[in-house]
Amino acid sequence: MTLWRVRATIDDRPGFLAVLAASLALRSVNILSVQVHTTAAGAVDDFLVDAPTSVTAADLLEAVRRGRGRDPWVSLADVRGLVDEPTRVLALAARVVADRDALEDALVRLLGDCEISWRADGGTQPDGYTANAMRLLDPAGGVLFIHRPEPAFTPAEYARAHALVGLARIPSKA
Amino acid sequence: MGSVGGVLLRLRVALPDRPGSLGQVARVLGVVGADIVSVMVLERVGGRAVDDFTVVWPASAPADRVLDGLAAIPGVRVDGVWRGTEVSEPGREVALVGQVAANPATGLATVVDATPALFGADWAAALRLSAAWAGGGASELMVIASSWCAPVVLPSMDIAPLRPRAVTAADGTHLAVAPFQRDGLMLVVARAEPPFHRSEVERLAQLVGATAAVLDASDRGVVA
Repeated sequence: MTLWRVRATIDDRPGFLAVLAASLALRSVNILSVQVHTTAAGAVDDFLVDAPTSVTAADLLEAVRRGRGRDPWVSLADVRGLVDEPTRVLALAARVVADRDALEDALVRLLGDCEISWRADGGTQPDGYTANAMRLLDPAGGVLFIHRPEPAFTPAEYARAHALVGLARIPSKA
Repeated sequence: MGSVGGVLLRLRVALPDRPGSLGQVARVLGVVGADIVSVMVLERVGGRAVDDFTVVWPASAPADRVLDGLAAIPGVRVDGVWRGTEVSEPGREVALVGQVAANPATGLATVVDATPALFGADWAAALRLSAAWAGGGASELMVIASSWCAPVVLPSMDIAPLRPRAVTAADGTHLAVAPFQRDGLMLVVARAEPPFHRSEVERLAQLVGATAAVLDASDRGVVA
């Protein structure tokens, strides 16, 4: 079996989960966890699912669409995916506090497949984000730019990334 | 998300760990208009899964009948239903660690106040174990900080061994405990039902670990 992360926009609530789960079950795909993010565009749902190894990304995308999930995105999940999100994020926070040099690595682990660049002269604009980019002031000076082609960043992801960068203000052990 | 007029409920459900099981539970909840906010998997062992569902429950929904409906699904068992105080907003857990860093002097109280929402619990407290206990004497717990709704007299419990774990107090209150590895300090979170799962105990241990890292930095005088 293979763990996948699935993100999709779901309009029909309540009852959406029953429809989606039924569609995925036809492919022998088992939903393990669900997290709803509310955005300006509606509710975006993150799922962790367990699929037979024979199921491809295309199969999964099709099954999500048939289960009334719009704009689906799927990606292979690592095994740590089973740990709940608050627990995972707290562990990353402790790492950043203990070693500020771990910040960029912690951001990659938090946000998944993204690229991080740093510019000394990033300007004086405040922190912010768009669907594919985040801009965060580096406490050490300069600006961190994070780029992820897909899926679109959610307010929850931005809130966590912003808070994580803030922790790097704490000088680490000498 | 249709949360108007609803209350936040948490349901702990044991179900067969196979495709479609979660959908059957979701269908029963959907029929009465309960909106599922999150499903957290606590464990997957021996073909069974234990999940915590957080739902917005419509005020008019007949709770007893829904629970009967869930229990009627083959292989499904409802292990607990309890009222959630609030949904912890995303990023809250890291922002909390940041607040401790910004103001270490009141850091423990800040963590204690935020902990119940992070765990769907009734109350939390920071306790200190007296030195006498460490020396083999009678144990004595001092309350350093306690949250809204914490009882004036804490339930009596067996705190040894001092490591992250779930405990049930003499009066039936369920608690999760995690020590700070400093000054005999520990963080305790409590609710009437259900008992804390080991994955919740792990989350509490991570919260304590991150808080302790910040307080250690503060002790070295490096936090402004």
